Amino acid sequence: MHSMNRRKISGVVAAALVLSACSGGAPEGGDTGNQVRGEANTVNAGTAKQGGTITYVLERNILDWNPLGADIGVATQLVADVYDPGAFTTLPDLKTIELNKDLLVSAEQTGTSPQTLVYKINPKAVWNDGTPITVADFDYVWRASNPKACPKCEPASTMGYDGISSLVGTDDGRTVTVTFDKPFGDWKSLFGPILPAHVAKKLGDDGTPEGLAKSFNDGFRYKDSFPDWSGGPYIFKSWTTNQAATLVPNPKWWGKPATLDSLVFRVITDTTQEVPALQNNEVQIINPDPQVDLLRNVQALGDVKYQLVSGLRKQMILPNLNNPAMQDPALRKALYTAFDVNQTIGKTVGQFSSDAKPLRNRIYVPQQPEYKDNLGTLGTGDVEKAKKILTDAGYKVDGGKLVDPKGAPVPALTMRYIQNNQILQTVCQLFSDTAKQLGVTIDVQTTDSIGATVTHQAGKDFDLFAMGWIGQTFVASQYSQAFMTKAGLNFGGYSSPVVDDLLTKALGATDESKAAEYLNGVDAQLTEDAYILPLYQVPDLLAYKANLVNVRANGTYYGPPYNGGEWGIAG
Amino acid sequence: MVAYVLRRLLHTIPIVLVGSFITFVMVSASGDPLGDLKAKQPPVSQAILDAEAHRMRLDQPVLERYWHWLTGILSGDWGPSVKKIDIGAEIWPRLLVSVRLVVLAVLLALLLALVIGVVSAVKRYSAVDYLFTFVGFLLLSMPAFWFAILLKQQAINVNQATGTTLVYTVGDASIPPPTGFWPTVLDVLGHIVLPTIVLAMTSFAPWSRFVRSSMIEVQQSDYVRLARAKGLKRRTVLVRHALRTALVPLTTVVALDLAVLFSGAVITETVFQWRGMGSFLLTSVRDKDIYAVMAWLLLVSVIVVFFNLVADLLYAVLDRRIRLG
Repeated sequence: MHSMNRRKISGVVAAALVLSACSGGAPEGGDTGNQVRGEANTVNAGTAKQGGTITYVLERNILDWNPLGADIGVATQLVADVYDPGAFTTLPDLKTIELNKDLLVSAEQTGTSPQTLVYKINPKAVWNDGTPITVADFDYVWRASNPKACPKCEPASTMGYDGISSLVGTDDGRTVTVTFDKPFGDWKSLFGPILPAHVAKKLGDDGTPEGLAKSFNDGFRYKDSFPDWSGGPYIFKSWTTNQAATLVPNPKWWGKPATLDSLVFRVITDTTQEVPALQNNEVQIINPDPQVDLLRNVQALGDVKYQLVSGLRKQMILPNLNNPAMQDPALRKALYTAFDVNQTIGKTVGQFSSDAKPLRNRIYVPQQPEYKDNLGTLGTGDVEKAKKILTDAGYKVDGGKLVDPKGAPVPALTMRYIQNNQILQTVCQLFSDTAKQLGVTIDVQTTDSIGATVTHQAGKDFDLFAMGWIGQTFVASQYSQAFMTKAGLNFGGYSSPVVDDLLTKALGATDESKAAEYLNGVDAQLTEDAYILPLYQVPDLLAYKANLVNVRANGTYYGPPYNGGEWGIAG
Repeated sequence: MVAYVLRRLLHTIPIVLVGSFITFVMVSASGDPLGDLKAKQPPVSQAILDAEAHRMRLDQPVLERYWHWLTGILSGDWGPSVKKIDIGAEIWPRLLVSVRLVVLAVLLALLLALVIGVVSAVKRYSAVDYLFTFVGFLLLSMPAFWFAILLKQQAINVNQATGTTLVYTVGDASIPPPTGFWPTVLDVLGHIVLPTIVLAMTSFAPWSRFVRSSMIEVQQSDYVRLARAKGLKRRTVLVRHALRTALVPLTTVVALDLAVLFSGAVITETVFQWRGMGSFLLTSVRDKDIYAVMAWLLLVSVIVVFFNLVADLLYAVLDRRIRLG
């Protein structure tokens, strides 16, 4: 099984199962006067004056600084945005994958047979010690992410890198030509970010696989320390674990100069403490999971602006096909058809986000041009249709209990959600109420460990799971892991030769429209098999002091710091 | 006295051993420490899972694991962490953070409890007593997190009214830190004032009730009446005779509360985002970090034993009738 490239799947890395901690509550009606709306990629653009400090809240501590490592958490990436350059970035509109013009002059696919990429590095691009950014840095990432070159390296993903047959530098290493022996459609996800090869040497990379593994697994992890290098607008000044990272402008940065004196990433692990800290000006940007009360508090702040956008985080209901009770597609289809997603939204996220709408595609979101409604009757709340599906499949209702075609009563199903998530608790309760109309009993329970619950090892103790999912723009790579037979993200144990074939084609498709066609075919087949019911995009809240410019929501894995180098205080 | 202390310490060894073994077994059975790693995406290889299980000693029977842990502790090795942190290096600074948070609060709470408890007892059933009783029960019944949030909001209002950030709501210092001596002092004070008040108020309330009830009881005792009958000054009777005796039961309560506070004022640390023992426990439990949880439990059990011993020794100081031997 292939692993996925970090950028493609990194949204799922560690955070794949992150569930929103939203709470139900009072209906919408807060003052939205300070809500910022506008074009996703340019909203809140402005000119910054020189100086000042901005503090951005991280909701998790950082234990591993390697942005390509298997242990990466979301917080690692948020900080890496401002010091570690990558080839491409996904913009807030969720559809534009933009070339990093500071790092690269161009990155193009110059051939398809064999697939060939040519990266032309910006001649001005240097690391903070003046060492030019060259093919060596690309080569290091390839070697560390390729199991053939480094079997003991622990990258978050090897996908794409394992299909590269050669990586050659020319023009003094400023042009990198990559050739594949296996086509890779999501090639823009590669080399995001790169790592400094000359630093890797200091960290143990002596050219041997062992040295490479040492530098990658341990060196770039910076246990009890922090990266002392930068190829971005900021460079580390200090890091105190559980407290904060302070970065200052990188003196060797060749791009548009950063205006701030310092940029602080402060760890605040209790969401409810973020708004008071913002109000007291101890922090200037927060990106918490929205809740009714929290949003109302933000709305009441006079000197704060906020954005509430729909990002790539989704909620869904996952069936566990490893359990016999859920193996009949007819039962799954009936349960999903009877469930009214629109009504559910009204009782959950719709209470604070009027933009929340049913998500009718498992792979794409409405902001992406490839999005189309593939769900058919699923999620429509058509109980009569659901009953007919069951009747046609041979089910009967006896004494209010559903009986399967063989005459055995359908057992009570266990539906789980992560504890303390009131939104998902409501979703589960509504789902249970709906199922009761079909004669199916659903026992709603919590779990304190999503990982332990959905893990591929023994002990899957759920039939249905209401869970969150961070989507990516590199969808072929991500969803091949979710839907391919026995793939890593395939928590429900789904298997379909049709889907496997379509995903294989999508992965190798160098034509983006063709890949989208295959993937929508996958989604349609999943509907046919009634595997996974998508619910809605989780609203993404970003609140910040009103005097900040160029700060904007980015509902992708890159998060708001995707343009942290441009952040500043209005001049 | 020294023999008594040594004997008491020797008695605690089997208690700590049995307690640590029971908790080790219970913590080990509380979940799969590798659960999150197993769900890591892309999935980690079985070889890595096996290596992690070996590193975490999960491939050993629980008795063997306990033995390794116990012998490791004696050589300063707190055991492997799921999150690959150095538990020993992590826990001591956290204990210091908790101590820093607790000491001022305890001193303030003790002072208030003594003054208010004595005044309430002396002015029993007066308006002052009723007022202090009301305040005491109000603070007793008020959830700490709610009180902390109210206090935070008031502090923010004060800051906004003055146009200066005098008081801070998160952490124990500003980042980046201010430069200069006085700005640094003010910054530290600005960060410590709110959690200190919260901790002090929540501790002061029950302590003041103890002092009051003890003082009332002691005031009615024969020896106090005798002291009064002998014509001793009221202040002398109160302080030298009554209060001294009344402090004995308070000593027990404070000693046990101190052990709890040093082990982590979980709510206060969470609300004010201090990285002390309480947040260490929360994080360790969430991560199912067996050895980190055990480190916390071991340290806390030692602290409890220590403060119990301190309480016993203080008895002898406060009440000459008690002889330790």
